[in-house]
Amino acid sequence: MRISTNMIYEKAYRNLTLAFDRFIRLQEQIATGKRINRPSDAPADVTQDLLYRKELDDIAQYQSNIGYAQSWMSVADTALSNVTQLLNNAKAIALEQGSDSADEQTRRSAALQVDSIIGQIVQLANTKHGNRYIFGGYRTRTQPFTREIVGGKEVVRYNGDEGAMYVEISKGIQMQLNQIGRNIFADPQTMIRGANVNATVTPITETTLLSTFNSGSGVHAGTVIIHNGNQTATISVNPTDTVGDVLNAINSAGINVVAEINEAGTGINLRSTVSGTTLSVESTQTAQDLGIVGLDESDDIFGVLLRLKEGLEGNDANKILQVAGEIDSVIDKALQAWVEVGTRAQRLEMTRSKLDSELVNITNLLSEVEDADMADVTVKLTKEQNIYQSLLKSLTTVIQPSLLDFLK
Amino acid sequence: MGGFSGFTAGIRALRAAQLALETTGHNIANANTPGYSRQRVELVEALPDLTPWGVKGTGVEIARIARIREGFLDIQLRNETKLLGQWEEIEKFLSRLELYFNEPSDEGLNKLLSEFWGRWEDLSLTPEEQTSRSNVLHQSEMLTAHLNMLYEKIQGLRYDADEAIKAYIQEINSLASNIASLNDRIRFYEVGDFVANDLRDQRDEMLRRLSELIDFTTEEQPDGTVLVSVGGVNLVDRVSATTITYRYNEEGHVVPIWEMNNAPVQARAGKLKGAMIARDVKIPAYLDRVNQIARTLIVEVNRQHTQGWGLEGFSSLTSSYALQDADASISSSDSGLDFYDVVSDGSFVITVKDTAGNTLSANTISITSGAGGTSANDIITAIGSDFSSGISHLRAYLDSDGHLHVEAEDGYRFFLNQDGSGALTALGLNVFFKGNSAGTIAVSDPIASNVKYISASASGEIGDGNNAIAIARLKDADLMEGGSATIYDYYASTLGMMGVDKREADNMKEAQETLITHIKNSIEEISGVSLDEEAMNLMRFQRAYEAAAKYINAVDELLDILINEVAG
Repeated sequence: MRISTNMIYEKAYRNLTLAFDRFIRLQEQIATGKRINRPSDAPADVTQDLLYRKELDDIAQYQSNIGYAQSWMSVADTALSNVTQLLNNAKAIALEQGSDSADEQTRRSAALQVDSIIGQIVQLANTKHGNRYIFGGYRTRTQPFTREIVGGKEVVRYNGDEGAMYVEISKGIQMQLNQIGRNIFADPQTMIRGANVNATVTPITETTLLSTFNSGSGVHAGTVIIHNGNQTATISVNPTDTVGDVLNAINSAGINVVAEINEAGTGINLRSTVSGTTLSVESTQTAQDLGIVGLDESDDIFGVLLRLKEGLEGNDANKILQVAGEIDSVIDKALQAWVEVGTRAQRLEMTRSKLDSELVNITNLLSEVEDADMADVTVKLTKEQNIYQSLLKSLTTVIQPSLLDFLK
Repeated sequence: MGGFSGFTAGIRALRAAQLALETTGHNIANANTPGYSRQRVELVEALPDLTPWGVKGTGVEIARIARIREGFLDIQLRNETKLLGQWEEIEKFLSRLELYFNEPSDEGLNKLLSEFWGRWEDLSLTPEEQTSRSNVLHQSEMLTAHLNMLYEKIQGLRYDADEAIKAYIQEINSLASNIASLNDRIRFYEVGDFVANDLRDQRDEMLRRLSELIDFTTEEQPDGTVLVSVGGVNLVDRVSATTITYRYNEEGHVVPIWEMNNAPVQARAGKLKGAMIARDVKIPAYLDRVNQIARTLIVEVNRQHTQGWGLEGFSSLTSSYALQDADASISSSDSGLDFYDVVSDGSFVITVKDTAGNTLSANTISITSGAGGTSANDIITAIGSDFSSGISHLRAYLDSDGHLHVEAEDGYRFFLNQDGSGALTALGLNVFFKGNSAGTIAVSDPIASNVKYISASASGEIGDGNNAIAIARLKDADLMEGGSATIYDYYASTLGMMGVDKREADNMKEAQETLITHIKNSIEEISGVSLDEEAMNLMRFQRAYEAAAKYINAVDELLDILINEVAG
């Protein structure tokens, strides 16, 4: 084969360019530590690469969400554990003051203690996480619980709503963040507990005649006016009616109020079927005879504690003991809420550690796709460097001499 | 035998050696000239004399100076060069495209999308906080700015291709006129059997350079000129060249045309074609995909955004999109709305509140789609054109640009949401994004000026972040490719596609380079100058010249003896 001088140079140039190009590509991998620096470096892998990166970003976001939820849970946890403690204190007070050893004096000072307990629980129920009330539903900027006097009677009003907040803790999985204050501290079903009607025949049933009420003196003819939120019903009562007649009249009045005979069969209870309303019955003679006058008295924490306070202030041992029995159920309620917080915190912790291991896995997968194998690249780089250098060396021996050098 | 015939043979030998030496010198001088073919002096024996003793040689004769060249290799070289030019050009544009997307990295669209959805998640946790709202705005502006930048750069690449095409047209014209003038000179020199070696080398080189730019066929004419034809039109015919020029198409892009009849130039390969493929096929495919992503973001985020409530109601609101025909159904293209096709049967709700936050009225506006469906004017009628008609305390009207305005009386605010019809998305009322492409996507004006309008709440209560969650969850929703791919999937596969395209161009370019190196080697093998060979020739012809001189000297001495001594 005939070799022209140009060919030697051209070939040398091309070989050098190719060798240098390979060298530079390897060097880029070393410099960036990445095998894929642009889509064309590995078209088959770049799609997966980007999706892994997205997964990692997702995990970082979920972890940040979980971090937020965990700090929320720890605030709720502290609040509810304190509430439980305070309720136990209140129970101890009730048991102590219900006994015969207590007198008006001790009960009066105990009433002050209970008042302070109520104040503390209201404060705990108004706990904030950052700028947000945690027990008020979506109304995070409105104080959820306020102590007010309604109709001469002390109440704690719930100003929040039922809004459930959610936090995304992993792909497609949401966990409820908040607990609705009303469900923990205030009974969602407000009710009026009827007084003992002192019927001559007990327990009373639907067929019991009203004339047996009040030790046989019966019920005056007249009306019972019931308010439930902004709904009002006026029920007419005749002395010859049965208990069933009265119950039916109230139940069919269309104001979302259910009337029923209490468990002991000694009186009539009224219960609102919608939450958040205030239930009240106007003080008519007939209503008084039926024992259903007044405001709602709820089964909730504040209702019970307020009744305890009333009992203590009124030096009413029976009432104090009755409340002492009721306190257990509200302690249960607070405990339930507390346990719920613990369960959620545990779930958050589990999800977090699952995400941590996912993070490691996907980081590894991404690294396999994207990162340069340093050992391999270094070996290759050395090889290419050798090739490049020997190319240069061989060129000096090939190009340098020509016949012209030897002609004299 | 004549005594002087010895001189004739001697002079012929001298002349031959001298010419050979000159040609060697010419070869050495042009060893590095592109396209140069080495030349050889071809010698033949001179016509012999008939003598009584037989046929006697009379020395050497110069036949011609030949150019050592294989014509078919040139044709092969041109065929492969035009493909190399084409792929080089495509590769050049694709590698810039890759640069703009800047993936995989922490600065590309992939990361910005994650940050964008992430800020919505943060907002869902603290929807009442000004900072989480501002973060959503800030991150959204980063996202839209990146999309705008991608659009501008990709679109700019197409205009760069136009500039390249214009430059190639100029180069083609200049080469064509050079070839025409070389044709003229070759025709002039090549009378009889003469071959204009160096001019032909120059012409071959011009043709090679032309083949980088465009594909053509050649046909050598009997008079030595070459006919160059591009897509059936003669670019060079004998001594005249046809000029290529350009016009702009509707999109403002350059189209090469023949100056004589304005017909488009049919280029099938070469850099010219490469630039056109990049501009018209490769780059638009990516521009389209980026636009798809932007349009999906606009429609889907807006659709969810128009479900929810901001922290504050509007006192006045202007639609982002303009109507061309306010009487046409907003679900038809006649309305002039970009996203008319998202409108379906359904309804949305306008809630009027006083500034204290008390709800005065919640008004359901029903939307019907299809021909004769609800028009913008129907909506205006429902709201009422003054504060007393339609919805109390609200009025609506159309401005001269076709934008729909809704205004509340002093002391009142309104909310537009719970849109099951897509009407608010199509009109651009209480939307998050405005615009209709990657080039125009931006955060809508009300939100850009007041982040309280971001609809994070699904219920209207401030602590409710459920609508923000719903928006964040769009990240994993199959919104693209007919509901089979998430935005991430679509974007990742776009880059996969780009990698394959770029790799193909790289590979084709490399393959062509190898092929061309091969052909060039073959040409060099035959036509290239070897300095060693020429040095040897130099010696050889020098020696021949010396010998011929010595021979003349010998003949001279013989004559000297004959004339001076014999005659004397």
